[in-house]
Amino acid sequence: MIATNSDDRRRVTFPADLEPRSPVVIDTLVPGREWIVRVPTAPHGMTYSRGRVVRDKNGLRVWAGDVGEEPADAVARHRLEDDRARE
Amino acid sequence: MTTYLDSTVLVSLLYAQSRFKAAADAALAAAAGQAFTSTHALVETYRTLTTLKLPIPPRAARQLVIGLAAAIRTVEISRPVYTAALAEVARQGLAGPIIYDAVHCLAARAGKAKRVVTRNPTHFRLFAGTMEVVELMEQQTGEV
Repeated sequence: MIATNSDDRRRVTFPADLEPRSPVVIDTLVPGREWIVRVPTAPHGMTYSRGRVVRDKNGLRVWAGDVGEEPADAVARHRLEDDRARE
Repeated sequence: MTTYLDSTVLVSLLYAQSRFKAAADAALAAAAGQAFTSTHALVETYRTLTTLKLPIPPRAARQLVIGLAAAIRTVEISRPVYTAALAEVARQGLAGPIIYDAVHCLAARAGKAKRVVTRNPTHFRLFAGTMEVVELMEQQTGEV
């Protein structure tokens, strides 16, 4: 699937196994450089990072792209959020 | 050395741009094929990857988590481990999300880990017993 934004200047191609089932919208974070793919109909209106699964030098599959924060720090934040959600 | 890898290490292994990626790779290498984690850590890893500020799409996140199995053994967390974790946090008078750290730590102990690697050593040391707790810290690689 190839998705384009309204002015057709930026394009993103999804690998077949990651192809969204719903229409996508491309939002620019930094004009001409960073952009993200949004799936308006996804659960919670999720805005997904741009990137792809690649194989790292150690053989692990890793994500290459922008996720907007440090995942290790996000674990602690999520544990706190999950806890508050139970209150 | 038999080493338990916390979720904070797993997410760092799976994100190429993480500032902890090199340290996580080094921790995995140091375990020399004896690294393990828990089913809870895998679920928590998926939960984190798919709810970052710019989340990794669910199918990609699943691929990444499943891909860990090639390098890291996964143990199931038994009821006795949960029971022990509950008992331990209650005994220490601890409330809230620290229970998750206790579950990780007691799962590591149940798996006979000699070392546990985490970004949160302060909490893990409360439950580590004789295990060595190693903090995942940013490495200076010297690369430009």
